[in-house]
Amino acid sequence: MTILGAWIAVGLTLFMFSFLYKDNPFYKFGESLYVGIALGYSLVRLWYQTWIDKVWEVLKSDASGKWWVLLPVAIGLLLLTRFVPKVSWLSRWAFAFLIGYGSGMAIPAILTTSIVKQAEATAKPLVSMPDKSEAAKKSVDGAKAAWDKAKAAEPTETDAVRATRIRYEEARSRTEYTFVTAYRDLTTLAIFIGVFSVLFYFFFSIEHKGPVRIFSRIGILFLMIYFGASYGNTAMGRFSLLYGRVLTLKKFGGGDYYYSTGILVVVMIGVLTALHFKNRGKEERA
Amino acid sequence: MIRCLAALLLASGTLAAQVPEGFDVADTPGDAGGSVVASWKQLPNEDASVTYVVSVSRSKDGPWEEASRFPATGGFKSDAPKYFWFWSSNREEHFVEIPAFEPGEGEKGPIEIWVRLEVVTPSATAATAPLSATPRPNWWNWPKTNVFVFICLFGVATFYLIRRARRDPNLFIRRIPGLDAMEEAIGRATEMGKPILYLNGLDGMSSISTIASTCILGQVARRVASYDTQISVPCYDPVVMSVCQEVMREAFYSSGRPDSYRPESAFFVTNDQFGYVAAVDGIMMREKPAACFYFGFYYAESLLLAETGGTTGAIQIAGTDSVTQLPFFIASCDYTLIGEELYAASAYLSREPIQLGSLVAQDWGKIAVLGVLLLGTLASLARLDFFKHLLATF
Amino acid sequence: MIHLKRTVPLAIAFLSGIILMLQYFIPHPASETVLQYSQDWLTTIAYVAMLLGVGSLLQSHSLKIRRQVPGWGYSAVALITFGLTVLAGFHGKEDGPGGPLNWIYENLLNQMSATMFSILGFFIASAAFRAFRARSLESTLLLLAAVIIMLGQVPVGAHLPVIPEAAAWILAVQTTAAKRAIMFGVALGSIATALRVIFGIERAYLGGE
Repeated sequence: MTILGAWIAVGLTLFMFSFLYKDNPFYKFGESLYVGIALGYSLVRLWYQTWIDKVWEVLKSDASGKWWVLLPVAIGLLLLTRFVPKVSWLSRWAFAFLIGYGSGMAIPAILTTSIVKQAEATAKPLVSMPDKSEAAKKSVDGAKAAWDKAKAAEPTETDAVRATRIRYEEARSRTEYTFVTAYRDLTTLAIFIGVFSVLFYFFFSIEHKGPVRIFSRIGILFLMIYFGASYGNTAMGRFSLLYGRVLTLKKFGGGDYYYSTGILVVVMIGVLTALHFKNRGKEERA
Repeated sequence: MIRCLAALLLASGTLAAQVPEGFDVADTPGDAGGSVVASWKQLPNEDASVTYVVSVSRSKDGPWEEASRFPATGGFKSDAPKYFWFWSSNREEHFVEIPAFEPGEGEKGPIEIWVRLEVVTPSATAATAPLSATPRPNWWNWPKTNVFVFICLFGVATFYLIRRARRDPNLFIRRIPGLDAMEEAIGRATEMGKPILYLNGLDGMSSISTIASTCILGQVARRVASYDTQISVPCYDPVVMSVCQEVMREAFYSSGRPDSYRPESAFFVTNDQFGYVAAVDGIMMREKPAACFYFGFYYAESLLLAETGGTTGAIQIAGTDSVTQLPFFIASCDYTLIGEELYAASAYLSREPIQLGSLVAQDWGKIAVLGVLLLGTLASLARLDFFKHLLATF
Repeated sequence: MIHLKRTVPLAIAFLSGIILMLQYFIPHPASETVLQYSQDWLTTIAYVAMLLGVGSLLQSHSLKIRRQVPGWGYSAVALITFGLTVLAGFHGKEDGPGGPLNWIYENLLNQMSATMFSILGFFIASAAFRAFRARSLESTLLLLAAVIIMLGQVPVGAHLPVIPEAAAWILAVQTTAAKRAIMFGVALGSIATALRVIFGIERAYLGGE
């Protein structure tokens, strides 16, 4: 990155971070800059990737059926009638197309991925039956042989040996009822109860009384555990984003970039302090 | 001696002059015309010593090119349920999918494919007479029929319950605290003389959650119009902005307050995710709304919006079907509509029979899902695979 | 006139919805063509719709500048930067690495975007501080689950008894169960809404007469 680019990058980073303090001229400037640049960038990218590639080039070519590309242009122009109040009702035709398109696409896709596939994954046997087939027995023997070989090669249980032991225990759990089988069944049962109880919570037309209330309460507990787990799972990822920005500020704060971070921080604090006292003076006078 | 040898060969199952029964070549079912399928019944007592060789040609007399070779222990129709589903007879029939020929110079597709099957054993080889088929595109994907049937059943149930709700509009709907709080929030905004901020999420108008959000906006706008409160609807998508303007205009007009409607209440900000967030956060900090409503689909910016709204002291009500963002709204907002409650909101607020009937249909759908789960679990316990097959997707 | 304003849009929604829904079940190349065309059309419509957004932006900001409302200077900044970005993009053929638009993207847009995203690091902590209080059974479970999962992700957690197993169990069981059930409900709600839209029962998006 060039020195000018680095100074601008650091400046804008600090402007946006200043939002954590309170609304201030630096943040307002950064926000306005962001809005203007983002829209301009989108417009240019869409111009080249959509208008030129998918409309203009197609119309210039000799492709058969090329005039079809004018249909979406016409639909888009219907949207632009919003600027003319007398005929702005024509934009409803465009809304209808977009909404109908989205609805039609969504129905089979949502049913397949969110209902049928999830139901298939949930409807499992709550008690595993041992598999006594030859293929299963061969699988256990193979896994045992691999574990024995790994143990013989390593005196202590390393990660590799542990992995072979887990594979053997998994294979064995399918042919006999072991602790692993019981754990798997317990997991299946817990998921089953969880899905059932959370679905009970979402009943709208049935009063939550009696057994429905009990199930629904269990469902709420499942939901709370899920929300807490999901929150905790995401937290670390979000912190790493912050580390990234701090490292960027550190990188551009070095001598190579003429200590941009330090200088800009000092300037910003100075300006914000001055503004703070100026505004406090105004409030006192008022 | 010869009789003994024949008996021995028969006993070992390697009498190779046999050609399988039911050899057939047909267009692959439920595809776009990219292949044909050769199928045949398995030989009695076939084992790994028997090999099937499938050869193809553009004409009945050859030249033949080997397309597939596999032992008789594999290649069953039961391995390809996306074409043949789960019929029990599939375990007794072999098949091979043969891709269509590319048209050569001066040829026009689709091209007829001639197929010949050879049965190779250690002692001998037998071949079937060649058969042909032409790959053709099909108009229906039969293995996906289960999904189509589910859609039809749910649709029929929805329309039936909507009709029933029209006849008897007094349907019970349980309390949803977040939606009850909306009335209170709008009242609070009116008393304080501060605006309400309403966000539709970051998806376009093709997204179902955005459609649901605009429906809720209509209900909120009706109340805002009758209380003469201000409302601000910064939009991420220009089409959503236009729809919001239409919805709000209709709400104000039907509430008898056409003069209070301002088209600039719904405005476009930018279509960059964090640019939108930066602008909306700025609006929140400057205008200090009394109530913030977040309905629709959100991504990582949900917490940025909700936390900023929280610092302004606004009452915050969120509703999203974005499963990953729900925990953040739960942590930061006063009330959160979880998942399906977003779709129930419009019915709950409007109390229109049509909407309530649809809500009851959703409950019926959940009962059906619970029933399928219960029966499916019991069936799988009994090693009955019917439900598993019913729920197969391709 | 009422037909043009109400009936025609409802018919368009119905046709486009039914066609796109049936497309999923039809493997014929014509069906694939319909899907491909409609996806391309959507991007073209999005581009023209962008002009609507640009118009709205220009209108709202230029009004603020004309009326000289407090903070009108920032509206001027937004409009000027918009204009400069568009000029940078259209200065020649499509911009590539090293071009002015690319420079704007790398040094301005990317930086501000990454910074706003990183602010989540602060907010996730502040939200947790406010929300995770053991006031009731539900909030205690929320707190405990978050703590166990966070501990399970850091090196020290691997040395604590039970924590890694508990974290794995919560992610495998509780998370799966709740997520699946929410997905069932959301799917049913979405399908019901989509069916209402396609069959013209839901018409709020059309506005009034």
